[in-house]
Amino acid sequence: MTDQESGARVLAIVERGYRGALEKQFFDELYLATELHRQLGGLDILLRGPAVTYGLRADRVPPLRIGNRTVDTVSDPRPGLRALLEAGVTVWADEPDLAALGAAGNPDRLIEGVRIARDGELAVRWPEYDMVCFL
Amino acid sequence: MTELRESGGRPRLLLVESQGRTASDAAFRRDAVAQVLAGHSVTLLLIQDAAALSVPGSDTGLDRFQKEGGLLAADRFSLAQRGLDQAAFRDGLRVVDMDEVGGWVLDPDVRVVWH
Amino acid sequence: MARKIPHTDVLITLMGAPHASDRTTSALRLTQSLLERGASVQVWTCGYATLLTQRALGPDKPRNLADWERAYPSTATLAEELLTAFPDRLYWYGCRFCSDDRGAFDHLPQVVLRPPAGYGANVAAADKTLLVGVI
Repeated sequence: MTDQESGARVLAIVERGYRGALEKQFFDELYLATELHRQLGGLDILLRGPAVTYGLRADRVPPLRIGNRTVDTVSDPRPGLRALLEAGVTVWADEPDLAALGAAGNPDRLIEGVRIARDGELAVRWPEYDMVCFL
Repeated sequence: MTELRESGGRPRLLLVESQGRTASDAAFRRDAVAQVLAGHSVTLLLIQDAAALSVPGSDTGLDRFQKEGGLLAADRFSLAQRGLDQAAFRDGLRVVDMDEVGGWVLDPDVRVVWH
Repeated sequence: MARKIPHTDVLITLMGAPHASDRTTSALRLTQSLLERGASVQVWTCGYATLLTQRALGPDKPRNLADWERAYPSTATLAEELLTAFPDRLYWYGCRFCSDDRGAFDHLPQVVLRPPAGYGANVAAADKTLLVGVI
């Protein structure tokens, strides 16, 4: 079975993530991806490496107490990912990296709509995109 | 080899790897192997920390990349920074200056992915 | 009225913090090579790369106590060197959100701060776009 092509012009690969929960707050790389999806004619996203956990179902990231302030606006990838899915972005999660977390065999562990990419599955499709980049 | 162009106008891929062995994953180098196995024309440029992978036996992913027909290049400045510019390099690896890389980037048939 | 972005051969989107690796150095080297070959180039800085062109950096780095009389150019000076050496072929843009978010202001006069929503217009004005680094 072949996956339907999304027609997106850009493939964005997110490898690390988790770069500045208190510094970036809402403007993380997924927020940037939403902008790029809108501006560049469509985006597909591949989550891999440490960032593959962005695709796992989870509760909201807990707020943090800093001084006398409760910061409840720390970066949270899951609302960001859901926003991307709602905007029509195709989101893939790398299967070997999911397997390393024990999450490859259980679709219930993934955010609904996130697809599993087999090892190397997207790499061979790079020439189909106008641009491949890392976010 | 001074050009990346191939007949038929199919874009050639210039993959720029800046991360070396201490990077948490080597997925980009595996991507490069996947491209070559799929029959795409790929040049992988090693720059910054990745220049250390110019040394033979330093990375099995690059061994495979070259074995499958991928073209490997290394940035001369990055090698010089690391005292590796007089080292023995992998067979088939080309040491290039940024001027040549600029030519590749400007080639309309070349797509660039920078890691 | 939206600003018209001059066409260029290449757009280098420079993301991520200077000092953390030689990424900035590589990007400036590539920019120089492209310009020496007669190409036209846009540089768009994002994230902490926006700080490269702050006037607060002054023309020189702080003094080297081990070499008191020697001048070391700041990154703002280096950007200015490129802009002066290749007028009409190099355009330097900065993301206004990222710049504001990091407290950078008063950039070199040649630097044009752009809203994130304007990035697509810069991409459309270039024959090829590179993303170097991540925010």
